[in-house]
Amino acid sequence: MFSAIKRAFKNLFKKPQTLSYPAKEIQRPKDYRGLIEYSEEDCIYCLKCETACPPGSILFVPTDNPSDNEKNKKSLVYEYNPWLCIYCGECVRACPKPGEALWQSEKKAKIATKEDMVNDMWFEKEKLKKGNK
Amino acid sequence: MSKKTINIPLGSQHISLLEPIRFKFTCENEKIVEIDSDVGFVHRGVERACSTKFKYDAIPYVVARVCGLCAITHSLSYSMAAEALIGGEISKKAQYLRVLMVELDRIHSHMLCLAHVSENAGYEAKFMQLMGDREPIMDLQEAISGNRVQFDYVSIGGVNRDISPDVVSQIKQTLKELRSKMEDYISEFESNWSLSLRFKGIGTLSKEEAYRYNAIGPLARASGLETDVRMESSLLPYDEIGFKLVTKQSGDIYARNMVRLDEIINSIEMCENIVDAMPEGEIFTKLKGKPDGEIITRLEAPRGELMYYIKGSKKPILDRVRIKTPTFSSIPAFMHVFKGQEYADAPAILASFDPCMSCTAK
Amino acid sequence: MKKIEVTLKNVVNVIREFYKPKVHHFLTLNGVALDESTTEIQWIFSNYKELDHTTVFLTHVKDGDIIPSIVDIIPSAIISQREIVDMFGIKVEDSERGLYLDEDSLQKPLAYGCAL
Repeated sequence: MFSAIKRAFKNLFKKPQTLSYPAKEIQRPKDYRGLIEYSEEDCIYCLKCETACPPGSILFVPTDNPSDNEKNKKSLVYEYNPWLCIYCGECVRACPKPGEALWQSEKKAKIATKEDMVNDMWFEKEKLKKGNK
Repeated sequence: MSKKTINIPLGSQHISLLEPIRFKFTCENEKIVEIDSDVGFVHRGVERACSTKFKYDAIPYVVARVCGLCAITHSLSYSMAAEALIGGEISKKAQYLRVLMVELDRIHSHMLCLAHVSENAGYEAKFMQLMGDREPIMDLQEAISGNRVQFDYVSIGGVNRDISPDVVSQIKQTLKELRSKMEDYISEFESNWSLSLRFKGIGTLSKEEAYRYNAIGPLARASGLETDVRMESSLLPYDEIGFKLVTKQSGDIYARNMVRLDEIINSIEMCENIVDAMPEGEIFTKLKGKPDGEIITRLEAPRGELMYYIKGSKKPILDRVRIKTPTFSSIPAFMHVFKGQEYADAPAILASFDPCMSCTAK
Repeated sequence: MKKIEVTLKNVVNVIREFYKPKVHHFLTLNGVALDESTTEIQWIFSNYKELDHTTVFLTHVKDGDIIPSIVDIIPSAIISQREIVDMFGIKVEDSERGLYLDEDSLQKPLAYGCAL
């Protein structure tokens, strides 16, 4: 019972434990799980990352001006939604060339604003993919 | 002549309520006589989504979002059931890493419940101190898996990230400091007048009633019932790392607090044993095939017993996923404990049950 | 997992002879939609202090059947029975609907072929 009174007296002279973010930067641990990055020249268009993604945030959508890659037989282009992604890394583990075509960096996604129209643009892409199947 | 009764709600908005649950008490002069409850405020339809929309290898990520505090036990239980149906061996190192995360989860979940109990007793300084001492455990989990709350750590075949020697020394340092703080907490919860004398004899569940209402988890162990899924299931290596069963006899709020404190000490010892005896090997084995058949698995979550039933027939989408969460099957025991108690004790009794409503109404 | 087949008429007597409160632990009720008109209902039990021991009583139910209630033997079954009424639309004695779903939401979500 009296240890509680002693501790209450000592706490008068201690600093608070909360960190005043964003005035002070917080330490991020090593191997932070960040954005997924893609390099088009090494991709072989096997579409394994699209089947492995749990929420469906990677889509290969048909397009009118495809790239010059000889493996791109169906004229597709890679689309990624950083606001639907859960940063689990399943796509990197499913890719046959991890580190060259697809890898996970340590950057954070930018904050979405109303002008980006995030949901409407993504629904358009999903419709494009379903319509031409 | 019968006495008159009044209806008092402990509604979905209340100053000491953390969870979305509504009770309607029928009281005679402040003694509770009958109860009615409503639990379905956060129903999201997870069971239907698992059998119509998502494939069997994406479901560990879906099911982890049923609850925020026991996320790892849900995805681990489903992964163990799917691995048993597909067939194949998981490496020993992956099993030890999975048990390490489950026990760290149990430590910080019990500390949250004890903080809420002390806040209801009016002792806000203890609430702040417990929440502050809980932060290093969540930093450890962030160093191992990458996230503080939703870990995305377990998938079918093993775990996703390995553990490095820096993290091992950080684990040992944090657990050594935490153990000396827990000794202080145990002596406080035993001797401080606002945390021990006020809670003795309130909210009692006797051993006969616990057998009759099928109570589980710390609620049952505080009444003297010796049940724990960690010693009734052979899927995880708990007999090699020093598990001890903790029971008390009186069944009131004081006994439940002491059971949770003793379980925290036992979990700290188990984590230190795991880190000392970590075997070598791979962390992930690729399993080929699709689930076929039906199986039931059980696991000990911080609040009690969690059961999964899955049924598959060699297609990418499963036929049925049934989740039975610990708070769901404790609701009849909760409703029985309230009868005969004073209305003013109701928030303190509810906090000592540690309910988790997002698990119940999935 | 040990499976035992029962019928709707004798399930209450079978469970009354089988269940001993200090030996067996009642887990829950479960339903699986097999096809358009058949649903399988399971009662799941386990043993205290024994390793990996579960017993399942199962029966097949058609449209329009009423499932008898076991609340006299096991009082904690009331909440699982209310969930079956909500999710599958099957009638159970002494249990009304309204545990999770409201009046104006999609009814019987887990019944066979209930499209969105």
